[in-house]
Amino acid sequence: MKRPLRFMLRLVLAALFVAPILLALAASFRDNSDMYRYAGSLSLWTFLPAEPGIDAYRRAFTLPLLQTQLFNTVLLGFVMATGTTVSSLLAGYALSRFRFRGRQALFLLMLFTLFIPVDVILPPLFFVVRDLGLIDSFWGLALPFIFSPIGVYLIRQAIEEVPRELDHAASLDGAGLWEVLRTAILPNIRGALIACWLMHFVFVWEWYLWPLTAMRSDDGQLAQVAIASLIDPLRSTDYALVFAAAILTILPAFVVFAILQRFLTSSQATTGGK
Amino acid sequence: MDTTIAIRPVRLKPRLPALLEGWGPALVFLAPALVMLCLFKLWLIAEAVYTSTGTFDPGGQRIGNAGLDNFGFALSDSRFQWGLWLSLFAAVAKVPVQLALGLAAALMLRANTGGNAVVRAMVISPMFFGLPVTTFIFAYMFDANVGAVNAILSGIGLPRVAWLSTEAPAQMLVLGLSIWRDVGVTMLVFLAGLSAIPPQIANAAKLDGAGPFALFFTITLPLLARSFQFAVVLATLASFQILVPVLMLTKGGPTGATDLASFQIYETAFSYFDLGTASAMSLALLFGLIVIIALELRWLAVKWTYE
Amino acid sequence: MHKLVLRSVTKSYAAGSAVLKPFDLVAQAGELVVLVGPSGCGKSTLLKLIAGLEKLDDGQILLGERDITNVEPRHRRIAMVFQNYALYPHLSVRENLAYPLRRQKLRAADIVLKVSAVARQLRLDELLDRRPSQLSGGQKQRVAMGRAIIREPDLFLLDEPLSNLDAALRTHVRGEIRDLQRRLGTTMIYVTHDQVEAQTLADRLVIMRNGEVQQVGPPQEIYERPANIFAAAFLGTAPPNFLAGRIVDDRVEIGQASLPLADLPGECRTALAGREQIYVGLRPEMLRPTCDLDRDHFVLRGKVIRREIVGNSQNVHFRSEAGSADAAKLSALAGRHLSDELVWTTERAGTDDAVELGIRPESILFFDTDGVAIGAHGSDAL
Ligand SMILES: Nc1ncnc2c1ncn2[C@@H]1O[C@H](COP(=O)(O)OP(=O)(O)OP(=O)(O)O)[C@@H](O)[C@H]1O
Ligand SMILES: [Mg+2]
Repeated sequence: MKRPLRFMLRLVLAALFVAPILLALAASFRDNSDMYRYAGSLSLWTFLPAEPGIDAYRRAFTLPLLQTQLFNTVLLGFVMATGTTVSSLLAGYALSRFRFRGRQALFLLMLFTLFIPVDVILPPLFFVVRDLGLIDSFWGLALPFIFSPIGVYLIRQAIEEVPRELDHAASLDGAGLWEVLRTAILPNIRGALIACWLMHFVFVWEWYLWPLTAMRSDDGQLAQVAIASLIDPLRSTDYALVFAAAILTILPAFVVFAILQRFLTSSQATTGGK
Repeated sequence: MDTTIAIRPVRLKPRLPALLEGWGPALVFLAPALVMLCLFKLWLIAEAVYTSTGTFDPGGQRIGNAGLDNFGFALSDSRFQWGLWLSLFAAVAKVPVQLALGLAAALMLRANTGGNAVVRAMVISPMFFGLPVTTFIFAYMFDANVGAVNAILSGIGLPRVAWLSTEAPAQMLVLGLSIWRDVGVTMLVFLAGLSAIPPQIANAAKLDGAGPFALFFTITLPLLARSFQFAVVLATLASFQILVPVLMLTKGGPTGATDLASFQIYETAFSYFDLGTASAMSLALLFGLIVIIALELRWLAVKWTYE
Repeated sequence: MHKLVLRSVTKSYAAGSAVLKPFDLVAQAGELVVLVGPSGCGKSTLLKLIAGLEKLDDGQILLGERDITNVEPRHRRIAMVFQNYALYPHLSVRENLAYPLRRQKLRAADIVLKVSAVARQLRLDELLDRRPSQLSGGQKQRVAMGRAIIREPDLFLLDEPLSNLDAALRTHVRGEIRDLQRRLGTTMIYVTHDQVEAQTLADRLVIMRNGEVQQVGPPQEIYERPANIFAAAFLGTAPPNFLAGRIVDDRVEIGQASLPLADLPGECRTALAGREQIYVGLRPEMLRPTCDLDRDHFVLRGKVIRREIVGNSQNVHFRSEAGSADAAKLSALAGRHLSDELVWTTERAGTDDAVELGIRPESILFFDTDGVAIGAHGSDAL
């Protein structure tokens, strides 16, 4: 293939994925009348704000509960990330290092739960959480997903790669089960732990169905679910407000990701060479 | 007394039943995951099975046993049958397209250059925005009035499309959103698979007389078999999770064009409060999903290993 | 049979650091040329250039009558055996062997015939339906060889093909490769780290260092007349004992010992005359106790430090006042670490704590202070 053609292909590919995102970003800086005025005919102002302004952001800040809801999302992110990472770490350690009957079967059973998507099993999940009396509560949102098959898989895999000699050396030096985990294994799987944490943290921004179902009160709701109710496909939607609010919502995820991503790549660089 | 102790074989601990061998110390570490697994996965299935055999009043109280009637009712309902077909259709439409695009992107971007790294990051970027926000973006792009897509269409002289209120466009929108979002994952799977192919093997094939096409079809593609299997299962799983845009934008319409089984389950449970039928539908769909994935795993089984 | 010619081939991966300095090499038709050299000296790179798997920066490659410099790998008619064999993991042994033939679009019946012929030749008949992961190292090696010979290439390239086998098997397969190459008469370039392998296989040996040829020639000739300290140190069971010496009047002085120039072969005498500082190399296996020598001109006295028994011979490590003070410089020239201990390899089981050794003057290797051999050493340039 010729060079210019290759370059063009990559450009098209990149545009395909980035253009919609940029379009949304641009929309958050315009106002609605502006959007409608230029929508009819194709011009630069169909895509970009003719008179960029931050009015939409100002209005987003005055949305009655957005800040509480954003706090809910972020808090849930921290709780989910930490909860899944800790439970996965402990389970991964047991599944990798302990010999007990049915270990392989248990691991497979855990992985198998990956094939139970929330979309499909939403009503029964609702009933279980209702029976536990957790509907409309923060823990009702969080608890069902604290067990994560992907997290267990990821961390078990990382622990498998830590040489067993390290455990043996530590236990000969007098370390108990917990010390072995803490001193021999933890330092060697930092990359996987951060990856697991980050993945589950970001994953909360993915949530929609479960909070929509299990959280009926507005001040306990997650930001992205609340914003979704601003969209009405049948009537005109205030997209500027939607995107301003949405961008405020995903900002914390980006900040956390940007901070931790450094550790991710550096730890992969040190352990990545096998 | 001393003598009895002396002749008895020393047994410090009572013997555990063989079934529980080795569980003692493991249990402490497994406990958090195990409790959650039992509550929210195993009990969940049990609850689904139990609920599916009952009748409920609108307040959610169980008022009688229905046996398998709920299943019979759901499966003989032509609307639910249509929903199941739609879900299957979503999988059949999404999986091949997403795999082809993901593989093409991976092949195009496999070399480790700075430019490729940037483009790769862009391809996976939709994942970081979360499903709700990406749905907002699509809602805006395809908005009948202010959407960029319609502006472009009319700009180049094509008719504007009422994306959400015409059947095929609404289906394309929902599927397109799902594929757009997930192509990055497929690409990552294939990139990992490509980098696992030892360069020596490709070199050997080149010397053995393989041109670019032969190299791709006789070496690269077969060696990607594992990635293929994984990517297919992931994409299938994702094709059963396109309820969000349906719920947010199309509400199953227009005229049932996006009336997916999962949407009907949601409606049956939370709009009609028919808990028994909803659970039966959930189990039926779950069963279908698992059958499809089992078939895929079987058809795509890989019989060789590297060294 | 095809002759391979490389003309001033150069290659660098990063600007400024050449992996191959202008490199010339000729392999005569049907010849088995072995490339040896320390790790990272560019042996694999050279093979990849010949195969066309890497692009050369400059120069020319001829195979037989063809200029293949810009020919694609698949049209070069070259077969390569890789260190890790690079068998196709998803294909059976049968299909691995058939692969090159299929790419040539041979008729199915011909493919079957050829595969079974090669399988018989390499004793692979029983294994044809296995996959590579079900084979032992030696079996994989044979499949790799089979895949290389099956389409009768113009040239074989082998990159450390035996390094993944255990020692006994290595010796055996080495013999098989030699026989096969003789029988087929195909030109072969063979890369190895193992100098025993190199010496037993090679028609001619190419000693490389940092992308440059140090010496080319038959192994025996290189052993007897190394072109420089590096080549001298590379061949032989143990590197020679290198000592610093001086020419004073008509004698070579090494520590307290000395030797009249008149005792040396003629060419050597003239080349040494007029020099001051030199290095000498004494191969451990050439040293003899003085009582065994008819002349005792050059005597090395030393105290034994340690003995290593290797089969029926032993390496006696000793220290002598003649021992070199230039160990660092000599190490640099030899490309390996040299200590100030001297070694004597002998088959007798002496127990003395002091040794008194001599060497026949014609067995002494002389080098100038840049490590280049003095006298009629060195061999044909190409
Ligand atoms: N693809 C590459 N990119 C950059 N540098 C490379 C590449 N391949 C090889 N090199 C460098 O070129 C030099 C020669 O490498 P080469 O593999 O030819 O050595 P070698 O003689 O085969 O060594 P060994 O005996 O260890 O196999 C080394 O310094 C190596 O680091
Ligand atoms: Mg090499």
